[in-house]
Amino acid sequence: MREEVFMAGTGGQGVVSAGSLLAEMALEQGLEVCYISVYSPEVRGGWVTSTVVIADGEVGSPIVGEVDSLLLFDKRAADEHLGKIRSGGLIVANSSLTGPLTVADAELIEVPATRMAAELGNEQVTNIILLGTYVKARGVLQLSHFEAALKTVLPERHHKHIPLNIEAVNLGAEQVP
Amino acid sequence: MSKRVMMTGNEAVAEGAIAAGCRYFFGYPITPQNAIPQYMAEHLAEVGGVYLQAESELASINLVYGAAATGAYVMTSSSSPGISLMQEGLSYMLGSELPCVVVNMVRGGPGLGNIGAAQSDYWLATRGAGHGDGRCLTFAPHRVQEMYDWAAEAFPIAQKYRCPVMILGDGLLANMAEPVRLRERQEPPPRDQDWAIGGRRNGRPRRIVNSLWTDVPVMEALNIRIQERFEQAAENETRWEEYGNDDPTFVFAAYGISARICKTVIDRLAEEGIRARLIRPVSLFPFPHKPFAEWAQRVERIVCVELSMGQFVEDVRLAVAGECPVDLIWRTGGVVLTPEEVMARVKELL
Repeated sequence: MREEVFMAGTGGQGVVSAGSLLAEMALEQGLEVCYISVYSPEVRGGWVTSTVVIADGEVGSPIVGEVDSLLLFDKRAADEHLGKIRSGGLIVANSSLTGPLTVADAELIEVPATRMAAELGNEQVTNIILLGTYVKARGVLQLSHFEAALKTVLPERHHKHIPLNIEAVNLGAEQVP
Repeated sequence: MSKRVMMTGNEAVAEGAIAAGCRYFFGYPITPQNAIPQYMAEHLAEVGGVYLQAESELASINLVYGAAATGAYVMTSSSSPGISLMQEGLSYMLGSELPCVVVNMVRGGPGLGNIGAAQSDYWLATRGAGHGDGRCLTFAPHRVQEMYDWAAEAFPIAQKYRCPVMILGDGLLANMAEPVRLRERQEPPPRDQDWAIGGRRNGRPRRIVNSLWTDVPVMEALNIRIQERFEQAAENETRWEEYGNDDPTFVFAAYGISARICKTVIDRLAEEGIRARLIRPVSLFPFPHKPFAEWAQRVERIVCVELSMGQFVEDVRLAVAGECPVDLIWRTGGVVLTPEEVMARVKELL
């Protein structure tokens, strides 16, 4: 098994945290994983990508061309990266910011994650909602590992936000048709 | 067994060095390896070590020289342009028969280049250590766990052969995160080498650490001694890994990050019924000639994959010695090959 996940968005949207959480979940689940995040030099408003490769044996290439799963956080990310999806892959799009998308040969789940996060009381969990949708829809990782991963990735001073994040990841999972 | 933790290659090589007993680190910032000095600055003090940010790479390597002369486990790290600046110091260390560990997280070059991942310091790493008749022993991990493990292996090897050891990575291996299983940190070994300086104790004879030998036969004898150590290293420290089909039609040759890419390509080719194998040198100097010479007799071709314009391929061709064709797939300047691109280009060759 080799699962290639690519996420793209804008600085501040939590693309790095989402990648890091996904990698930590894979580790919790006893899988092999490689995680790379790349961002442009701008302090604000620059592009950000995370690549997470999960495998049940040695992770070969950390570099990906076409990917199995794509998480698109905004319109710029969608314009730039929509073509990366492998035939039969999964796209989770933050439709609050990507607008409607058309995909020929992959499963598309559109989640108004920014609006939903705002309704939960904090737009910063947009990434967690998208993560929940991806995890549930793809079925490679189990949501039960989310809390442990969060405790590792989140600095202790932010642990008070754990309940909100769990609410967000479950809400994301519920969006899977 | 300890729990695995996510770490970047930079963090892993730094923690690996501390765990091995390294207590001295001198460095100067340059992307993509800044997390190494950052980690050392944060953690060396916990074990009573010394971290010092020097005013330049020249100062860094000469601070390393000083600490190495006392027999300490000492390390520096940099990226391509900074390693160029350290060449003089490395040559002096080789001439003074001093051990140290140098990490090079290679970036796009020549010149100041860029911060993309590259393998274009192959010649610098395997021929370098500045001027004169010698070089560094060079090892190329290809996973973050290996970054950690090689940091631990490199110090005793440097001590055994009394020369600089280079750990060669790249901008990707430096910054990608993978699970690492950590070992307990060890105390540094005693500085009981018969060449280490540190004040004349108990009236023992004076020791001199020096690379200036004006008497030419003395210099020649030193060079022969260094060469003999390299021959012993070739005997004891030559490492490589093989991966893939046991009855291949062709063999990939790749090290470091390129070898990772080739492994995925081999798996995908297997799904299409194409039989391929990988020879991945782990030690670049000493170079593992044997597997290449052997497989060259049995396969149609060897396909070299590197993120440089034909540096590594020269050693592969020397090892193959004309026994089969050797092709080259490359990208350069910080551009990284994808598995898809290697697949497409290798199919054109077959």
